[in-house]
Amino acid sequence: MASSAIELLLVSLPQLAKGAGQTLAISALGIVFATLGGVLYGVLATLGKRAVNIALQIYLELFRAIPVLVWLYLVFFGLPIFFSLSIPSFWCAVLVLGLWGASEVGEVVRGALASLPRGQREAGLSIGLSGLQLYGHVLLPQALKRMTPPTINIYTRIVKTSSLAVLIGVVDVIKAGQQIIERTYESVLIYGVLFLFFFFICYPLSAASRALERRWAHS
Amino acid sequence: MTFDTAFMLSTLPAFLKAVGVTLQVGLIAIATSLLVAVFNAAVLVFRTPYLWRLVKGYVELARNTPLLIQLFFVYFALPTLGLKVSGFAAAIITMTFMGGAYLTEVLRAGVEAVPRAQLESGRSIGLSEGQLLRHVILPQAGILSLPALFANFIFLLKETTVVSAVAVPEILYTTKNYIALYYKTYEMLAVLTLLCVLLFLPLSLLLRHLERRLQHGQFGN
Amino acid sequence: MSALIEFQGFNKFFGEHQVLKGVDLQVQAGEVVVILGPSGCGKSTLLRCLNGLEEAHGGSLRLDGQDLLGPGTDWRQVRQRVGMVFQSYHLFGHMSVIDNLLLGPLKVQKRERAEAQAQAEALLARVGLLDKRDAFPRQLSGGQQQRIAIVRSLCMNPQVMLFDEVTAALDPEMVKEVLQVIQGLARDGMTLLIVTHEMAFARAVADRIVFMEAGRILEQSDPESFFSQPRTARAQQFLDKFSFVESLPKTLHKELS
Repeated sequence: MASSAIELLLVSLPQLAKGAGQTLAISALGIVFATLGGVLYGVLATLGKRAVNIALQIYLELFRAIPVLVWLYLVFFGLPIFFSLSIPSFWCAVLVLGLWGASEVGEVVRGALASLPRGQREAGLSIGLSGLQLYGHVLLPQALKRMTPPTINIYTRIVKTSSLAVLIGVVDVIKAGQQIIERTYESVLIYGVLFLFFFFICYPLSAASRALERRWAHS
Repeated sequence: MTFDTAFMLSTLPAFLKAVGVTLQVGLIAIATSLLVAVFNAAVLVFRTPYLWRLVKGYVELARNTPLLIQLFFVYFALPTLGLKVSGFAAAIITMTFMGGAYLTEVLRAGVEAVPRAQLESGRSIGLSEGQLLRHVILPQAGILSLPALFANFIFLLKETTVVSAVAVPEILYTTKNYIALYYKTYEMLAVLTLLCVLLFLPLSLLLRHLERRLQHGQFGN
Repeated sequence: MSALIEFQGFNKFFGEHQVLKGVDLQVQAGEVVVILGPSGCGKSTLLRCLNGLEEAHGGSLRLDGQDLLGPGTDWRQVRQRVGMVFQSYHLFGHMSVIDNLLLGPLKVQKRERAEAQAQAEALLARVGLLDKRDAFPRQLSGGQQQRIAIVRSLCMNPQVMLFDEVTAALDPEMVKEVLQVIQGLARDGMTLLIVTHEMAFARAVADRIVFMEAGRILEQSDPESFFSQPRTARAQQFLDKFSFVESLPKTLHKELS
């Protein structure tokens, strides 16, 4: 049993690796878009513009009220119908993870920026910094320590949530595993491997988040 | 593009039932998760030998893997080991597995957030450890972790959509079913979106209100 | 000669509440003006309006003849000419002292690093903190941070410096080192607008005292006449509160018992 299990794994490795590549690509792209979008959200949300804040609030609440899996179906089925726009399921997943992640990261960035003393903004303005310079040189660098640990936590959630892509037809690591199971009936082994695959990506991330949080708690 | 409103209305009974299933799965999972979490948090807080490490390991494992994999493992892999479970049971088991871990962390953090000085002043007036826990730690930890607990309840309720993957007839599964049967895609997506907004938005807004009220864990106002 | 700074009929509201009511104030180049008044009289708000940190609601404000309340005002440009120092210093915590000083000259004014750095170091030496050049704000005392904050503004080569209760957050033993720096600037002929509660300092440094209450300027005069014989009853009451502490009898506890 043990040797045959190892054999099976070795044989299935290329197929699993290919699926894992898709899973990792979706996660990585989702993380990149979530980070860029989140910083933009955080900056916009701290400008003190009422109309902007209302728009961001609606965006945030929509992504909080509607589960990510529902968003995946809405985009996957909805884009072709409502906008006659058909995009591959891979990019549907990236889009949804990016937009959802941006709302979550954005709230973290907003909170971190809001926690800075008001005087930092005024001191920056008083020496004539432009808005971009104020955020780039003064506010965001100081918010970095506060926003990094929770943002890394959101990254682990993005990686975990990327698993849902299989449900809209992406041939990711789970789909690859299921195809192997169809041939071999080794469901315990394969699902065990998938379990560990996600665990070994997510655990280091959450451990890093905790370690950084502890280290920066007093600075 | 026109909405077939007559068709939408005709699906209403089925969707009402689906909302029932969503709430059922969600509320049962919340209750069982909470039971698991209270036990685990007590083990962590009192550092019960051996058991403590086991709980730590469980929490890390459950928090760092996707619900979908956990669900597929229970539903597809366990039967080959002789443990056959229905989709509904698989849903409750996995959501408890995951939810229990999340809530454990919430409760533990709540206890840890009670200031040390509170324990010291409790001891200084002669309270026993049990009295300390009952009269000083738990009431404050409860208040401190209330927003996080509530946030996780909502999270679990939303995660019930994932169990549509093992044919539990909740709102998302019902939507997919109608789309597959009648091709009324946009009507059904509209119904699904509406249901999510009606179900989850008020809860989400309530949470925000609760967070603001309890931001500093204050009493008396 | 027209004034360097000119407020005319200047109004400012916070919501319904009017905090500045038709303020008229002129400051000549090289003049040191100290604004006194009870808390909430609007004196800090007046300074903040001059730096564009608060929006004006009527009246006019001119700097060197240029109207600042018009729609075309580039506040970034104005702020380079009007330096401002705050009560709680607000140094940038993630930057060393020298980086705090160079941020404006390099990023806003796009000056040469060598030249800006030479100026920053000369100014640091002048306030006695050249050895703190590479320190971070949290490693410095309040008085040291405040002197650095003053230098940060000076590095922009402003025409005017605004001081908003810059010693109010400091421990008593650090007040002197900061006030000496400001006094040095006054001696050099810099235009200064100072809000403070340090009466002795105000008397020593000011060319003119402006007394404000409830959003209005009640009187303006030279320091000697203001402190010896204020013209309004309100100013007299205000001064009495300060002299009360100084004139406390030594045997107070006996009188009370």
